[in-house]
Amino acid sequence: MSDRVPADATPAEPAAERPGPLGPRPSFPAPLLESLAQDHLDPGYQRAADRRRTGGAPARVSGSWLLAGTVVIGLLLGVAFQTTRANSAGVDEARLGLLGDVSRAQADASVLEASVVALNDELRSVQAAAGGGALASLTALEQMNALLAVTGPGLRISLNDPEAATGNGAVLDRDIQLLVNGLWSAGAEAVAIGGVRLRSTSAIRQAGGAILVDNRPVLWPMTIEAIGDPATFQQRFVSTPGFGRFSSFEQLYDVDFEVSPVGDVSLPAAAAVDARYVEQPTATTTAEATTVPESGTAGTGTTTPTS
Amino acid sequence: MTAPAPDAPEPAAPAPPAPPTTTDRQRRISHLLIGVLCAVLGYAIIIQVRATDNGDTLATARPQDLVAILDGVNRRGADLTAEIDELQRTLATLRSGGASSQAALQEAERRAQALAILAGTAAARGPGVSMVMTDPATGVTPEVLLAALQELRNAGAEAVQVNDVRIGVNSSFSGRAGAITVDGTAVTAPYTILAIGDPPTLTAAMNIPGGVGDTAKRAGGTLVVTAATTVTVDALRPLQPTTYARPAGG
Repeated sequence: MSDRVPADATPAEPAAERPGPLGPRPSFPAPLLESLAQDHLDPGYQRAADRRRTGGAPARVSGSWLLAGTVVIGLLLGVAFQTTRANSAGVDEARLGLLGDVSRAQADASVLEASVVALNDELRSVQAAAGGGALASLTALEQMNALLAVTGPGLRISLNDPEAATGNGAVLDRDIQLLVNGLWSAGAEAVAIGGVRLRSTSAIRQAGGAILVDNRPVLWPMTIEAIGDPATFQQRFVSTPGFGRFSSFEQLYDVDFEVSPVGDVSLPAAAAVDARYVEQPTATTTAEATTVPESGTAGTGTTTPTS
Repeated sequence: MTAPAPDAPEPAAPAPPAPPTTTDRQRRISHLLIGVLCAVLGYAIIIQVRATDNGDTLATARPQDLVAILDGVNRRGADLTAEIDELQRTLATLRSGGASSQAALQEAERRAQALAILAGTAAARGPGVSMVMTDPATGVTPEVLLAALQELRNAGAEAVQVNDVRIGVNSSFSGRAGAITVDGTAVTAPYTILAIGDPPTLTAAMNIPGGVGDTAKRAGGTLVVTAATTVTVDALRPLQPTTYARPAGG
């Protein structure tokens, strides 16, 4: 404690052995307001001014204390930094591992999908070379299952949610569901989101900020392409609730939303669905059903409760 | 703590003869310090900008979301692998048949039947769920039904019908609460939805907290989901070739 006071301290200084905030001034016991009114100079300044007048050197915090304090603060900062880094390193490592797994699995799935599409094409050509009778309806069925890559006139929707990357995006999966619902109701014949062609089993959902289409993550900014009648498509789409919702998003949340008609869009094929649960009811009813849709849209459906 | 001894005289000794040198040195040190601090600050800003500038949604996704994404991608991979096996088997059968047109025709028919079920032009049967959504308050909007369909698809439903309308890839819901149309056909409450798929998965998907069941309840309705070993989805969609979407490359 004693090194606190330099050797050349003025005679008044010894009282500062235990330095109170106001120092050893006589006004010390005075109430705060009174002292504020009386003492126009801070006691510290006063002391320094007195000392200068008497020719003493300015009081200094001794270098060793400064050094010790700096070392201690440095140590504290270092320890805090190490702890934070050690904690985040584990989390980051797990996250990076997951990220690697996701991109690997995605690359694998893309390769698999490409071979499914290629095998489908091959199968079609083998069948065309061999038979040919049932092919007209087969092509229509393949189209209804989104198994063929298609081109045609349509709309391209550019969509960007600037906040999506932070996980606080305004656009949720149900908004994109509604938008796509609007495209279908406006007469779309084929739709792809971010290059993922929609098929009858495709769902649109989200995991955090990422939008999953048919279980494939689609990154922002997102492009939705659809093929439809160029004469009516856009006009009908503009009046759907999905379009209306995104128009207000554009105004309220800075979401980029741009719909432009395109003369020719190309949509990729989707992979065939690997059906595991559906089967024909019976051979006879199927034959009737595929050929005679008279009971068609009036079907009621039946269920057998679980025993 | 021997430092104070050499330290104490230091300020006193150089002070009277050469005060400018001390201030010069101090000034130089403080300039140096300011420079170093500015450099550190600049570096930190660059790091921060780089971290935020990376707009990749996946790179910034939370671990739990990544797990969900990975699960989905893996599921898709498994589906694709099964599909490849199936296609390769079919191709092998066709080729071993020595280009017999009979075999090819049979195979084409079998394939057409499978596709017809998925497209909705043929009736389908299988395990699944049957659910009834009531709407006494006329609060069930087309969006509620759309959400139900998306949940069912996500849970792996392969064939779905809503009241008397078979759902296909291009099915859409329009209208408003109490006057909903599905693909242009009016549907009225109570809404009966049949879906073929894995019954426990479908049931769980409908009863998930904050899911379709809760949404229906918020709209003043109820949702009763019944798992069944056999569900028959027999509403049909017409076989409809596309007009504007032409097959790419022939």
